[in-house]
Amino acid sequence: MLESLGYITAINIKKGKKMETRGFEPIVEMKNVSLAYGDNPPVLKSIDFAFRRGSMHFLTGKSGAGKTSLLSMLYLAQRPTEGTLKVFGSNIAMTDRDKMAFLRRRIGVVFQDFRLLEHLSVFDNVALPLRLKGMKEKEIRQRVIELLAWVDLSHNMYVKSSEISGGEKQRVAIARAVINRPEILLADEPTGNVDNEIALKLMKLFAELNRLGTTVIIATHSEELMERYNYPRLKLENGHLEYIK
Amino acid sequence: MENFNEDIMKEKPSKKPRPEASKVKELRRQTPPTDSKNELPIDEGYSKTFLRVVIAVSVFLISITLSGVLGINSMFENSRKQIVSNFTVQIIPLPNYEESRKDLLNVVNFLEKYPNIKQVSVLSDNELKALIEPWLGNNVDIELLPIPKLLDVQITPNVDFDYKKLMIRLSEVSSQASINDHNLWLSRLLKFINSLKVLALTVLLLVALASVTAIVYAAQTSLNIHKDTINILHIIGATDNYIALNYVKQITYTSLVAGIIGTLISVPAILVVGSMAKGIEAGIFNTVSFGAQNWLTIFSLPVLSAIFVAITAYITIVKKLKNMI
Repeated sequence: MLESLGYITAINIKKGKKMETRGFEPIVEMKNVSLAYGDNPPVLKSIDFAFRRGSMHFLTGKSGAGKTSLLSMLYLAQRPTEGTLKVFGSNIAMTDRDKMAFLRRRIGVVFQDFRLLEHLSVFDNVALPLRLKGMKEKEIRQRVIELLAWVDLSHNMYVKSSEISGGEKQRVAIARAVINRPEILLADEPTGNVDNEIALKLMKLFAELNRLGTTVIIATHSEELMERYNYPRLKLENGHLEYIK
Repeated sequence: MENFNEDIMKEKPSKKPRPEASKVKELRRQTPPTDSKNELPIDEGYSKTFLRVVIAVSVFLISITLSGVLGINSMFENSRKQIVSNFTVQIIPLPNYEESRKDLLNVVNFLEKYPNIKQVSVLSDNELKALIEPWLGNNVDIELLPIPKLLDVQITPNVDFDYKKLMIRLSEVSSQASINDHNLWLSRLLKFINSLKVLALTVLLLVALASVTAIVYAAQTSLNIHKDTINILHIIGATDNYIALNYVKQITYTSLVAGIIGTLISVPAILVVGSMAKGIEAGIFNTVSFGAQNWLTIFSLPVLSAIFVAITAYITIVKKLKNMI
């Protein structure tokens, strides 16, 4: 069924299964990608995978399997040690720093530890991606206020992000990730620090963004979450990426 | 589609509770606080205080050194203007008094008609007596001494006077006459002043070097402290230029304030030294003057130092950022 929906997007060399890409232009493409930190053994080994625009995947694996490393490559914080990584059609190894910055603006990231700029207010944290784009302050204000009202944070708009609760920080992080209407949304354990009710809300939000055309990749080790939401899974094991229906 | 979780499929986007339009309108009308929006919070930490002190001290030292150079320069220029506007002609007397007098008159006539000479005055016996008094005392009969006649010659100011040409022409009029144009004395003074300038330049270079080291240290420390913030900014899509300018904007303001403080502290010191130089009342030192143009140079130091800091910090930061994600 997933195949007919176009969700099977992978060519998994490790398992020897060559899957159809159905002639789409991948938004992210990895060919024989490996990643190592310094002289240490690689944490990611020979990954061949392509994400279709508008797809949604879970990325799973044990702690230390390399989920965060893979995500960091996808949000362009790391360049592969070997192989070719193409994001939005650009070969990352050949892309200069300024162009990398412009590519990153098309990617939203929700970190497990939120990574907010704690000295800034909730408003300024969410406004940041728009300011980087050089948007006019009047338009920024309009969009940020609307989004903060939508995630129910209007009451804390001008409070420093260091002074709000964990759940609120989570919502600020998500608002910051989506304010720019990203083409790719990466979430690292987004439900790890929140209760079931908030986790459900978050998943609904991600699903809605996906319906609007955003490619969503959620890194999680929660079996419960993956069973509850039947999106295709990618499993990282011993540095290799495995596609699971 | 049935493979999707039912909870999610039931949730239609249109049914999602939207924020009330009136509430959003009200929020838009609220005036946002005017807090700083600097993404890099360099306000904290010792590096900023360190930089402030270093810049203030550097600007103070530069201000003092520069004012010294400018003061000496003005002294030289004033002296030069005063000296080059006149020269002395010396006529060694001939054995015969009448011939000597005739020789003197020929020289005076010649000089008075010479182009760009305003006035020719023969020093009187009393003036000559006053000149030799420090060596020979006041009981000297000047008629008994073979003292040369001296002529004080005033020339038109701001004219490039050709002394060599005059010397040749004068030798045709009188073989006993010679010119003292103060050039030797002036060239020695100029040499001394140039040595002082080289010394001052060395001091300025050392101060600049110390400042560059401090700026580089402060910038690198600040970037290390805020490495996480910078990584977040990069991930969100900030360019190196955006981050560098954000930092430079703050550090330039800090330097400008520190520079103003350094300059203000130097002003009383300059005034005190200046008044002491004038108080010496010893010939050349009376010509020391510190005009509006010199003060303008001193008061432009905070701006110049802030520009210097901005450029140094920008180069340092961009270089450092290239090693980050």
